[in-house]
Amino acid sequence: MPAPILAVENLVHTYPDGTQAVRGASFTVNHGEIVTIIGLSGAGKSTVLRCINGLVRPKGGAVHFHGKRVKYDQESLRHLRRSIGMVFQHFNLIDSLSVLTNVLMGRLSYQPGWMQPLYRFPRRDREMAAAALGKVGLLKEWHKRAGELSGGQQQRVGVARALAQEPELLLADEPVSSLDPLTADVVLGHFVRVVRSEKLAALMNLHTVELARKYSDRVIGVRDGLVVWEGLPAELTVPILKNIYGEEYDG
Amino acid sequence: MVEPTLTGQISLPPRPLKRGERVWAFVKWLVLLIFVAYLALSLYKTEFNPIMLFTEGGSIREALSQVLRPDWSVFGQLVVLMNETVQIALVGTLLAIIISFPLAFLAAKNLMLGTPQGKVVYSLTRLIFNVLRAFEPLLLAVLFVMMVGMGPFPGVLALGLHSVGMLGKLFSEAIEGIDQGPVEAIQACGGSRFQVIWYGILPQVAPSFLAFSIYRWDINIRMSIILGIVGAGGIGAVLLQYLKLYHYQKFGTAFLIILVVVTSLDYASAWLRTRLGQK
Repeated sequence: MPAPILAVENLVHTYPDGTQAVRGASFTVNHGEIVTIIGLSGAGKSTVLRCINGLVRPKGGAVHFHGKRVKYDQESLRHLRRSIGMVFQHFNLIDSLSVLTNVLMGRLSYQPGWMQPLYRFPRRDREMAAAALGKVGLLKEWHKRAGELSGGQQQRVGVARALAQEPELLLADEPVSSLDPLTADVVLGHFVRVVRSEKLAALMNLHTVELARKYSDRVIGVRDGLVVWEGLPAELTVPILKNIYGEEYDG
Repeated sequence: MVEPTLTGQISLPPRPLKRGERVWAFVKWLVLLIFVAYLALSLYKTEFNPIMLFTEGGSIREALSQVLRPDWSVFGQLVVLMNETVQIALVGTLLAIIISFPLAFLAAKNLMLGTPQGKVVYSLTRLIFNVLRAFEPLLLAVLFVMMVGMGPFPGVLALGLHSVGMLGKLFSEAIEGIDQGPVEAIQACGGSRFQVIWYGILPQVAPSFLAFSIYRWDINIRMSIILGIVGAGGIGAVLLQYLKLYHYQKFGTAFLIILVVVTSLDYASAWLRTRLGQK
């Protein structure tokens, strides 16, 4: 079996206010695999994801990407982030800019210096952004302001931005939590199909067990900053869910 | 126990008194009393007496009637001077925008408070803004007239410098009010520090930056009229001259020109700013 694309070892993070968000989490993600982290709000899911691309600098443990240990200095991080795309709960688009420009943000780390102040991008990058928009089915909307789109469309732009990076791994932090249940299912389904067709690996946090069951290859249960369970979606039984979510959980 | 009914009256239980509440109430009344007394004293000290406007306003009435009959022979000359006033304000505002734009980022809490060096730079920049705001443009104009001589240029410098303090504060507050989401997204895409500012922050603050700048130009036009009085160019210089020489009819012409220009630019700037706000 080939080495995993991502290996998280004994990850620890404490926020300045003393909150122990992650207390020694370890897991791996394999090439082409879709892994979902589930757990209560505040269990440390978001922090784990942010430690992987260095938006949060962990206090302990290690992250290995392609077998290489992640270093948290500015230069190494910029390089790492080229290969890891991220999708956010609140989309984090720049509402006043066009859909295409938002997707081009995925090409920022390749933008030549002289073009940077001018909001210009090389032709090749614009073509890649257009291709990414095509993959999420929004090519026709490229000229609209991102703020004009519906929530579901905005998140698809968020996915296109991540795809435009030509990443090897996608992180998705509660990608559909701010959408209604129906749209959530559609958008997540779209996301998963693209990940499959591009043969990428994805690590996502999800709010609902139902979506985790439907869309993941493997599920990781996190509770109080620790990995308490790991297995196949089909193995998620009520006692296991009670262990992850607490005794109050009712299927 | 009495069951409360829909029609029955329920008397409120007595509100528990906080410690020192009575003393506080007394102090509040005392402060109000002192303030009213001070206000009364101020009215006396400033010789506030509206009746004087009518009993001793003979010369004023005469002057006013002349002002209302403007002398149009100086119209062309005054339009040229008014134009200079508007231009002083424009160049002064532009100077202020160019200086305060980069400084504003150094004075934004959310960008600077992360590191110890950042905190020092933040405090220094804020201090510069505060000091510049504290200097009245009129005072600055006197200073610059002494330095570079009479003319429009000292006016530009005075307005520019004072406006750096105002615009810098407003700009940096706009930066502090941004949504961090896009910033995080740009970082996650591998964007550099410059790209984070240019693509994550700038689009969010651009409309308010523009609105503040237009508003500042608007204020500066009114300010630059006054600056002429101390020799810093524009229509202000002749305004004072006309008053001193009792040329009230010419003064009336100047007054009318100022009124028309300031009011119309005021409306234009308000309209532009609403447009920006709605976008």
